Amino acid sequence: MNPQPVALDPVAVAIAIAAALFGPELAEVVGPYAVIVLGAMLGATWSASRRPATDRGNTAVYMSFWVVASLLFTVPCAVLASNYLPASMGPRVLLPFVATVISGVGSDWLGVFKWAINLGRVVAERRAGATPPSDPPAGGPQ
Amino acid sequence: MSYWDSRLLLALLNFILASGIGYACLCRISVMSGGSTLKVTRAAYAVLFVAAAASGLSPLLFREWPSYPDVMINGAVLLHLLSTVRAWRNGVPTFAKSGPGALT
Repeated sequence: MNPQPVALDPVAVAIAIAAALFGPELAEVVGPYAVIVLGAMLGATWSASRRPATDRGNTAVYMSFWVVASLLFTVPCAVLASNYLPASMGPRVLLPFVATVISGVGSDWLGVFKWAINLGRVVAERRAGATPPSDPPAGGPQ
Repeated sequence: MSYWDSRLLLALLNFILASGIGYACLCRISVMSGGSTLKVTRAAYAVLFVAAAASGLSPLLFREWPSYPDVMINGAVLLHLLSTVRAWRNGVPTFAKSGPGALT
């Protein structure tokens, strides 16, 4: 029995590429992450447009990094957040919002953590009864 | 050509047009900055990028196959972006710039 000859005309090649790109095998893997990916892209493009002007390669790397970071951290953060919200707002509802926030803050997360640590320190000091530093006397040093 | 093959080709064409839109958005977003660009312009290009990604990848993400009108609108948006390339050649154009207000 002779094997069927492989079609190599451009149309057949294009169909083969499209079938690989949009086939059910890949869709089954990627589909559940659709809202996370789109939310992450939205946040990443917003935070990328906030950065100083740079070249497109740098911007593409930045956006890719934060989309991947969102893919990794969105589900755990959404599950954590849903514990503090009404039962109707389950993790699935929060997925796109959490993904958008994670990549939307982007490279400013360091500043957010510093602010949170400072806030925690102030709250802890107040609870411990530490006296706040007194204001300098009016009229300058005597 | 079978119906499935023509659907695949239309999806590939839609993907190529959406990729062009995404690339144009990437180029323009890279020259924007928080202090120099209107927020509405930044938001517009962010949403356009995501919409292009959703449209181009719709068979993969949503199992929705693009139709001829989808391909037409993506082609029209890409053509519109190409028509304004000259305005963005030297960074953010004047109509999208934002800066400190004039001192009264």
